[in-house]
This record gives sequence, structure tokens and C-alpha cells, in this order.
Amino acid sequence: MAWIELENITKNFGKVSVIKNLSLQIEKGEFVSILGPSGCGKTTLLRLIAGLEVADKGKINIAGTDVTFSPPNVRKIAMVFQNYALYPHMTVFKNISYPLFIKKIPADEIKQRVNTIADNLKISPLLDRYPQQISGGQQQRVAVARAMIQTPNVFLLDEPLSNLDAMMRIEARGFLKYLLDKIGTTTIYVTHDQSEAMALANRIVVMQNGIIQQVGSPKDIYDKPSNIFVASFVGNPPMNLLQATINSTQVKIGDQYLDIKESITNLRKPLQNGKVYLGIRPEHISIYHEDSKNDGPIVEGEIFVSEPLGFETIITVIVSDQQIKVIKFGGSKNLKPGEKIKLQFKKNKIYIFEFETGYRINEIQGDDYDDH
Amino acid sequence: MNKIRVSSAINYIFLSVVAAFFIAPVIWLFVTPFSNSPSLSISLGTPTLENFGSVFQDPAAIYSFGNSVIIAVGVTLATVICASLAAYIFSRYHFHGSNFLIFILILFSNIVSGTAAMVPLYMLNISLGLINSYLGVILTIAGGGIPTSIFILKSFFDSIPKSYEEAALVDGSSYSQMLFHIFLPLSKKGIIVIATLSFISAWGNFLIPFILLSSQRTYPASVTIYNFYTEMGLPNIGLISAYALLYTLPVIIGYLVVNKIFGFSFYGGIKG
Repeated sequence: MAWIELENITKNFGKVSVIKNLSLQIEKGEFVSILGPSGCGKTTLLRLIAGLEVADKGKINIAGTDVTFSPPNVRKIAMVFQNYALYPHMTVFKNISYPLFIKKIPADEIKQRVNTIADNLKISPLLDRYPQQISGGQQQRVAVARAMIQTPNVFLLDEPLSNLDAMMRIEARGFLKYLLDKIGTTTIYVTHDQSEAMALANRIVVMQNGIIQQVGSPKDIYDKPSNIFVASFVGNPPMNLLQATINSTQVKIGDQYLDIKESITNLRKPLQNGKVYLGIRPEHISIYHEDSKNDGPIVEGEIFVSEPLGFETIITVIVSDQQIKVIKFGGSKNLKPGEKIKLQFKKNKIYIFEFETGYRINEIQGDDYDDH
Repeated sequence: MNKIRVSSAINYIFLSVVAAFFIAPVIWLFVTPFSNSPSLSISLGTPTLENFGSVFQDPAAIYSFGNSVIIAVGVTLATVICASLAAYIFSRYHFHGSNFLIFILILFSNIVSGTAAMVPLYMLNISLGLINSYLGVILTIAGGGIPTSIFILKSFFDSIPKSYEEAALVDGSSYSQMLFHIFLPLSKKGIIVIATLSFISAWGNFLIPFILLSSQRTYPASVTIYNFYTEMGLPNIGLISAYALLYTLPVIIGYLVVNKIFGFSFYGGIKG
């Protein structure tokens, strides 16, 4: 039996169906990230696990106990809220010690445990202050400390980094990963930021409209997206999706024919009317020169704009009225808007998605994560 | 330029008259009790404490203060307990028709505590056997004040983010621990404001105790003051003014203390 089991969970708010017959299993010690756009039901899912909402249908098990209808205080969970929810009338020390105080743990033990955790999180000098008197990054650490002071069955984190500015966020992300790895407690982390999910989790659950779109390791989600939604949600910039028509050997984008025999050998489903989306990630496209080795199909286009970002350059190219984003590493000389350019798609990185349903229909070969 | 001067002079004269209209009774209240010849005009004469002496010699004057305290404290307790529990539900759970219910309550509370409903209220108190009892007075005054208090407390509670309570539950507290350790401390300002307002309104209420209580022994100060006459049947102004000043003091002190500790402001939006 898995450590956390969600079985056919349904949750409606009035007439709005937020979670639709969702099942998910999480093993002990896993770090699972629930990823999706706002309004996809990811926070509701977390609140259902916390007991702050009650499911309309379905069952929730935590650590072998059915907690479907249990209040939050008996579930042995710890949660970090998006706005941290630090009690404004208590000092940082009181905030961190609150879960222990409620359990009537002796004062000297509380003091010792709070001091240990404050040392770990480098917030010892703040213990006498009030939450309003410390910065956002410090508040986030206090909220994490309050969660970590317990030994919960599961840590629930609801977009804990979203209130921090961009610089702080990267720093806090690394620190959070370090901490949670060290403790090894099962963690569920809700975010709308795909880079956070990729950076932190062992396993990512991608959600949209209350339905799980795909569950897998970050690498699986990235390399083998099961549909257009996952493909376009994960990755920055996201995967290029081009409308195309296809037959058994080649694909047609606008009036250009691409030879993609190898990408369509392992179809899970026979091609129907030939309309598909062709997906290719920006980093799997290279600029083709006469002396490049023949590594995949080539399309011609016109540079629309190029955005140098220092280390890499994002080039937007118009190919038969559709935009393609390309990441080029190194300099961006000779990339003037309006110029003609040839692009080569890496042949084993081409994705074919069914036009009607958006599901990927070709098998992706190879296991290489990143080989430019 | 001249025109402006003239018009501002007229303004000042007009405002002075209005101000005098409001200030004069207050000056009277503070001057007359210390006068040896109290009258309806503001004149100190020779300062004396004699008027206060006669208040303390009148047993009715003393125990009616006690009655006022019993009624005002009772109303305050009933209002604070009922209004904060109800306001919490109205603030945190939205059920069908909840806004309409608050609207109706406020509408009818103004009628209930008003003069128009005195006859039915009297009948109700008789049939409940509450006539001539403190409980009847307390319930009637509180019943009039609770809906408005619910409304004020609800908007106050609305401004306290729900995530504090959720965090407390997740941190392992039971609902009652959450209430006492988190929610009440966060909302104490609003509750103290409501307590003060309902104490003051009960302390000053004349009509309801006057109608529902029939024995002098149970009259609160607001009704007793109405009964101070000389043997000649004229109002005893010295006694009335001294008593009025004593009667006002708890309210003034209450306002000052609360204002010093909390300040009268309705805010609870504590940023997380």
C-alpha cells in the first residue's frame, strides 16, 4: 500500500467541478510536485490532502489510515501556505513552537528544538521579532521552520516561493531542496512554475482542469510528454507546436515537406485524416549550414526577431506562417530580422500529436536527456 | 477680498452658535454639580461638594448604580458572546441567503429596540414571566443590539485571513484551541469595540428598563435620575446634576481607556 493514496477523488464548488475522479499514489519519502496553471485544481488537491476541504466522492489514505473525513489536526501533516500564514500576534519563536505547544511538550524541550531548527534555517537572530518585522524571505523560512518542527507524515507546500522576488526565489529553491532532501519526509509541492517542479521533484504530476494529464519523473515529463498540454507547459521557452499534415513518410508544414520517416515508425495509433501537431523543442533545433551534418529534416524560414539573453539567444523564425522558437547558444551575429534561414530538427526529438485529442502518437526513442 | 472676509465672519458666527448649542449642556454638566445654587443656567456661584453629599445619602441613588452595572454587564456579555459566534459563522461560511438574513436582522432589530415595538415586547416579557426582572431587560436590550454587532464584527472578521485558522488546524490544534489561541487574540480589537459600544448603550438605555421594571429597587441609574424631585414636587437640580455627572463618568472613562489601549479603529487586516 502506498504511503498516500487518493482514490477517485471528486470535488465540486457549487456547480464548478474542480477535481474530477482523480486517483494518485505517493510512496513514502517521495518528493512529488503538482504542476499546473492557475485554476487547475492543484491547490484544492493539496487542501483535500490537508483536510481543509472534504472530498465529495472518493477516499484518501495517509500512512495506512483512512482520513477521508478526518479534520486536519489528526492527520499528522505539516503545511507551508502560499502567504505563510504566520500568526501576527506571536513572535517568531512562538510561531515555530506553536505545533509543539499544542501537543503540550515541556517548555525546555520546545526551546531546545526551536533553537536547533532556527540554527539550521539561519533565523536564530529573528526569534524575538514579530512576523511583520521580518522580510519575505525570512518569513518563508519561519513558515518552513514551523512545518519542520514536527515529524509529520507528509509536508504540504503550497507555492511557497511565489511571494518572493525572482532573485530570492532561486536561492530559496536551492535551500528548500537541500533541507527536504536532508529530512527525507514525503513532500507534496504545489506550483505553477515548471522550473520549480523540474528542479525540486522526484516525480511531477501535471494537472489541467481538475484532471491529471501526466505523472512521471521530470525527465519523462520533459522528454516524453503525453499530450500537447504537457508539452507546451513544461520547458522555457515551451515546445514549438506546428500544424502539419502527415503521411507514412513525410510531413507537410505549409508548403514545405519534411522527411520524418524515423519519427513515425512507432505509431501507437494509425494516422487518421493526416492532420497532426508536430512538436519540437527550441533546444532541439539548430541553424543549418551547408557544412552541417545531416541529422534531421530541414525547413526554411525567415527570422522574425532575435533576443540575446547573454549565454543563449532565442530566435523566433516564421516558417510557413507559423512561429518557431529556436535556442542558439553562443553569439547571435548575422541574425537580422527578415533574413532567410534554414533550420534543422533533431530527428529523434520530433513529437507527433494527434490533432483532435492532442495526444502524442509516436514513441520517443533514446534516453539522452541533453546532448547539444 | 472684503467679501471673503465678511462671508468667513458669517461662517464663524454661525458655527459658534452651533458649537455653543452642543457645548453648553456639557459645560452645565460639569459646572452645576459643584454649584451651591444649582439652576438650569450655567452659574457656579460658590463651589461646593454638597450636591454629591446628598447623592451618597440617598440609598436609591447608590443601589441603582449597582442595578445599572448588572444590566450593562449582562447586556455586554450576551451581545459579545452571541454576536461573535454568529458573526464568525456569517464571515466564514456562506450559506444560501446568509446576506439576506443579516439584512433582515438589522432591519428588524431597529424596530425591536425602538419605541414602536414596546407594547409587543411588554406582552412578550409578561408571557415569558420576565417582567420586573433583570433578565428580561438584559435580553430585550441585547436583542436590539446584537444584529448590528453581528454586522460590525462580520466585516471585522472578514478582514482576518482564513489561512491563520487553517494553519492552526494543520499545526495540530483542535477547533477550540484554534479559537482561543489564534482567532480570539487576532479579533480581540473588534470584540472589545463591540463590548464597549454595547456596554455604553445598555448603560444609557432609559426606555426599556423604565417600561419592563416596576419596582424602584430594581431601577438602573438612568431611570432613578428621572425620579429625583424635591418635597415640593420640583426637580432637584443639585441632586440631578451631581448624579448625572457620576452617571456619565464610567462611560467617559470606558471610552478613554479603550481608546488608549486600542484606538477606535476598525481594522483587522493583518498582513501575512
